[in-house]
Amino acid sequence: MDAREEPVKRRRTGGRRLPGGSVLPGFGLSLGIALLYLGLIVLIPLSTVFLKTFTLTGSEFLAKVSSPRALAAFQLSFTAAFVGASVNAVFGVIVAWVLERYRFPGRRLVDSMVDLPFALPTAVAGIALASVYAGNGWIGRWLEPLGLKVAYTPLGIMVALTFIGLPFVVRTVQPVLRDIDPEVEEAAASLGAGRWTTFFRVLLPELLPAVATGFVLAFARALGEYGSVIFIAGNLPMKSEIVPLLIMIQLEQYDYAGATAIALVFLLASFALLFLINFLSWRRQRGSLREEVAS
Amino acid sequence: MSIVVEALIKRYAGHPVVNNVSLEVADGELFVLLGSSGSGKSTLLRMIAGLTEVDGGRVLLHGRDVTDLPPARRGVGFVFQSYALFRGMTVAENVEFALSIRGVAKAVRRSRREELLEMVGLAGLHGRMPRQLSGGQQQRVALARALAHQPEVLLLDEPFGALDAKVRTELRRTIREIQRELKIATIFVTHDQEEAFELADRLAVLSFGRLLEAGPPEELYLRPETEMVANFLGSANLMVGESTAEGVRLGPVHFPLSTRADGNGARRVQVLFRPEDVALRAAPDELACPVLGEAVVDHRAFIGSFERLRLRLPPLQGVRTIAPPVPFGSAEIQVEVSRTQDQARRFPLRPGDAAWVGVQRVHALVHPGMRFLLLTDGTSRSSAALSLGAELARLAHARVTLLGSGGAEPLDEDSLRAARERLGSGLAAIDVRPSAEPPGEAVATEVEREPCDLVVLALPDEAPADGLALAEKVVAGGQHHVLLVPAGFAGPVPTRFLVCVAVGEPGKEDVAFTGRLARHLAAEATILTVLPEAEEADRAERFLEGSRRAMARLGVRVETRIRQGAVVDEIVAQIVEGGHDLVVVGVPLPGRPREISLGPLLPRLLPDLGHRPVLIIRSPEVAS
Amino acid sequence: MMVGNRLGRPVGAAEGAERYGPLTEPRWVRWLLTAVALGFLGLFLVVPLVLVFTKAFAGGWAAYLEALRDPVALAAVRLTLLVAVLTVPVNLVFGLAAAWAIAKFRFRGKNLLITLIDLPFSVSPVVAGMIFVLLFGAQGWLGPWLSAHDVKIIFAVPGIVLATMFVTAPLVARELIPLLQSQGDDEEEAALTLGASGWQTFFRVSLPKVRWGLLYGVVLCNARAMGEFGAVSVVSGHIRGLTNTLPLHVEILYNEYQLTASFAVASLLTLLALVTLVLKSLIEWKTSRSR
Repeated sequence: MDAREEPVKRRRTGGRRLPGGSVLPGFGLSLGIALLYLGLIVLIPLSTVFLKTFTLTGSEFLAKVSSPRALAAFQLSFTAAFVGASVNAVFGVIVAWVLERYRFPGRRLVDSMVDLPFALPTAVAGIALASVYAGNGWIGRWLEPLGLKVAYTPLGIMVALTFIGLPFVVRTVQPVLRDIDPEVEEAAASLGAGRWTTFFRVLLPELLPAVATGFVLAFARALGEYGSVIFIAGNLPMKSEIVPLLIMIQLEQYDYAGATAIALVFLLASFALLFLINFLSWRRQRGSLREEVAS
Repeated sequence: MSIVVEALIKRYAGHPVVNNVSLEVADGELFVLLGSSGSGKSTLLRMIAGLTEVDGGRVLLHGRDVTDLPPARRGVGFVFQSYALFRGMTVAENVEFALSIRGVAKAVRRSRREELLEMVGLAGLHGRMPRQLSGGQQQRVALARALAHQPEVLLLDEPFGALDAKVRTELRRTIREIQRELKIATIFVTHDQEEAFELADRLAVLSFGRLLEAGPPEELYLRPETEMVANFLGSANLMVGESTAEGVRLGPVHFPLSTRADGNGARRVQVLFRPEDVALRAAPDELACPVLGEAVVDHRAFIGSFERLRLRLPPLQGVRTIAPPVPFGSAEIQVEVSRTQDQARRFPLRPGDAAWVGVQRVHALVHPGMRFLLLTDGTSRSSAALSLGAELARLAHARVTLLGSGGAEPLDEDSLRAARERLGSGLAAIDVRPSAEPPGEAVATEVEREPCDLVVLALPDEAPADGLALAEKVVAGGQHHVLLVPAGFAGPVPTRFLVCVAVGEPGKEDVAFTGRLARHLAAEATILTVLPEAEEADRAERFLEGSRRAMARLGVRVETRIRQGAVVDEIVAQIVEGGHDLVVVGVPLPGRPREISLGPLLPRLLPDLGHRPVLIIRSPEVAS
Repeated sequence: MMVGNRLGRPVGAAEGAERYGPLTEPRWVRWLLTAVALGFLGLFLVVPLVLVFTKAFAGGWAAYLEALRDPVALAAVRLTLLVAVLTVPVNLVFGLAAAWAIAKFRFRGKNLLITLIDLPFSVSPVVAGMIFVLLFGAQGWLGPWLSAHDVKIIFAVPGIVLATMFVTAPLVARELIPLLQSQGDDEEEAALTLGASGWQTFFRVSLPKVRWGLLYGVVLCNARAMGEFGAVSVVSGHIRGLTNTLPLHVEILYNEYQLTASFAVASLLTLLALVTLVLKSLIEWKTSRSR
């Protein structure tokens, strides 16, 4: 194990306690800058959500967040984000598998394209997806005769959220897939396992933590997404209005208290997800750390 | 036989990494494959398990041809160097894996697992995850896992490579015990000679994809047949001497030897004696064995229960050492000696002391090993010849002498060093000799000193006639064959030989040397003869069939062709049709050896060969 | 000459090669999976991408250029560049400092700090904008004081910059932390024993080691800064020619059914995204080669 990870007191440096437990310089300065900036740009502004909410009484707060419109928005946001992340979990594994395991012309290009949703401004994604999936759009026109209306329905929201979360599962699964020792698969084969057995019993268990991490990341991103959704959503209250849009509308109507109350619930959900993500990656890291110790 | 491997071949990018390997492992036998890294031993093992595709040959397990079966259906147990445990499963789940995918009942799995964990010394650890175990324990789990489905054979690929010395020793004992108990045919791959000796019932030495020798460890150590094996197993004193009717001679010293050396009176012979076969005394009359001479101690090293000495002897007439290697340009002889501490106490020696050297036991190698002479003029013209020559030498385990001869003036050191670098690494032995003589004479002088088997010459593109003239001179000047490599040659090692013979040819020598080379390169050969239109083909067919059989006996895939028409045209047509990349022509030797002519065939053929190398074989038999 | 081919391990195990039969799937499965993956990516990535450019040039070059030459569009370009120029360097300094503190030292609450750095990622952009409205808006905590001193933050450039900084804060730090951690302290310690000062060690040893990761962090940060929509939308007030960034301009044009103009401006942002992806690939190629 890295000496840095051990408790401070075990390392004795002739009585002199080094700042940050290292001879390297700049501990105070770098930590100071980091904390100052985080405080000014992130923490103080975020705290206003809590402070503002405390100006509401309990019943006022409940009324704001459990109004039928708010509840419908919550339900839609969570459902659509869940569906989007689920689609990405399945297809993300397939994409990662194909990119890592198979060779075909243009593989490198496809691989770098996967990051497009990270790099493309959400508003651009929004208008492009809305145009593609509209009733007269390139894809929408083929779906509409089948009775599938995508744009301006909850389905459209799911399409946008699938787009937004696309890279996450692919990018968390890829390195894990790459690092699986080929000898593990060879061992399974020599013990009599076919490809399906090997995949489901040997590979998938190794991939699952990464898939879970990617799923939660995609879900968290999709939950808060605004730009790519509003163009394709239709934005009908109770039907196709997501939470961020509801917050936006209430802000525009200067209903700051209502916006803040809903935002608070939303923030708490984000924090829970953040905690979950960190927990998942901590568990994965601990696993690999232990292995290093043992070997 | 439990495991039978027949003429297995694997090529990567045209290069043979497993080259025509055949071996058999008996029921219950522990067979060790020993070789340095890159020798092809792991690839061979993986082909037996079905993990690597086979390019040629067959694998039989208990008489069943499994060559085309996927690994899942071969019934082998395979242990990897990296353990390759399933990280997400417990020890128990790992061990039971093979049983559970075969649908074995839980209770049966459980008892089998308990039994196996007990056997590998991990009883009670079934609930652990692999990462909670040490490396040695993980490899024990891997071993138990590989045995769970009662495989017919057990294959271990350097299983202890990642473990430290103490753990290795323990695991070695465990493997040996389990293997004895289960009586399972086992192949164990390692690069560690000590490990090989300790474990093996029989062992085989692999080098550059070829199986050199196989046998019980003691047999291979004391009586190796080849230079590579002699050098690879333990340290060796290896010298070139002469064989006589009663034994072998090293210079003036005669060793009576009931030798198995071939009766046809091969003059040159390699003589091996191990460091522990050397006796050191203060005076020659104290030695009860043949005396090499008085030597001076160069180095002394204490290595635990032994003492290791390096001594320097003055040159002996007609003796050249191969191992340990002597510094460039020196004719002195170095001898490696090891003595027990008891011997060392009785006659203490320090660097600078003198001692008389006697040899208690010698062994003459059956296969003297080949020697190639590579000629360079220091320019880029010879670089293709050097590359190909060195690659052939690597594959054929030939010793190489790099002869620098610039014609008018001697080569400068830099171009000689550049030529040396061109040869690359992995050669059995390299000797670099600058010569002040022009090429033809330089070769003659060099082979006078020590004969060689093959001389590799460059064929300059702009002056092929000069190249041929030199080749003519070189063929005439000794008992060797000549490989002509066009300066523009850039291909991989040739794998499709075309042997051009006239009826009456080829002599035994053609077939023998061409076949030997082809076997080393995993090459196929086509024997071609061209008849005038009118002639009957019967006699030619019978004749070619004889040659074909002779070559096939050496393990070379060979076919024959008879064409009718004009000689040069038909040869060229066959080269194109058959995709041949090396042409072999025999040179009949007339009565007087200095009057050899390569014409008229070669000068006419050469313009059409398109940078293909030509092997020129001397055929002494034809002359008589 | 051919020594390199003489591998102990099969080529199939090496990067960049197909695996051998028993260790891969039947051909039809491979084809099917590849088709599914490419179809999925095509539907969600390629089609929208192609559409942007098709629509942008639907009216020909002249209409395209006209949409970009529009004074309001040019003002949006200027504002977007200004926001990026202000945001990226600040986030660069923060990212370096945070990564250095986290990767090189042990201290209490380090894990909390890492979580805090990630926080903006999981906050909805709308909420990110909202908090600055709550802080600096007319009815916000500092609102009265600001209006008394005639300082405009919300519905003005400072608000846009602040919201962008919030959203892009984690990007540089996230790229650098794992890089700095994986490289260990050996070289820095060696430099110190050779008499280098702290800053010299940082600039001459540490920074060059992570320069490619740093560059990628900056590129990504820049792309997000120029493309941020939700947070900026809340604080900007959509004042044409004054507080409209490029993404907001796209929205306005789209909502006014000026589709060609909207996609023309969007194509600029798409180009930015493509350049970002190309740079990312180049950087990955560089780092994999230098390793």
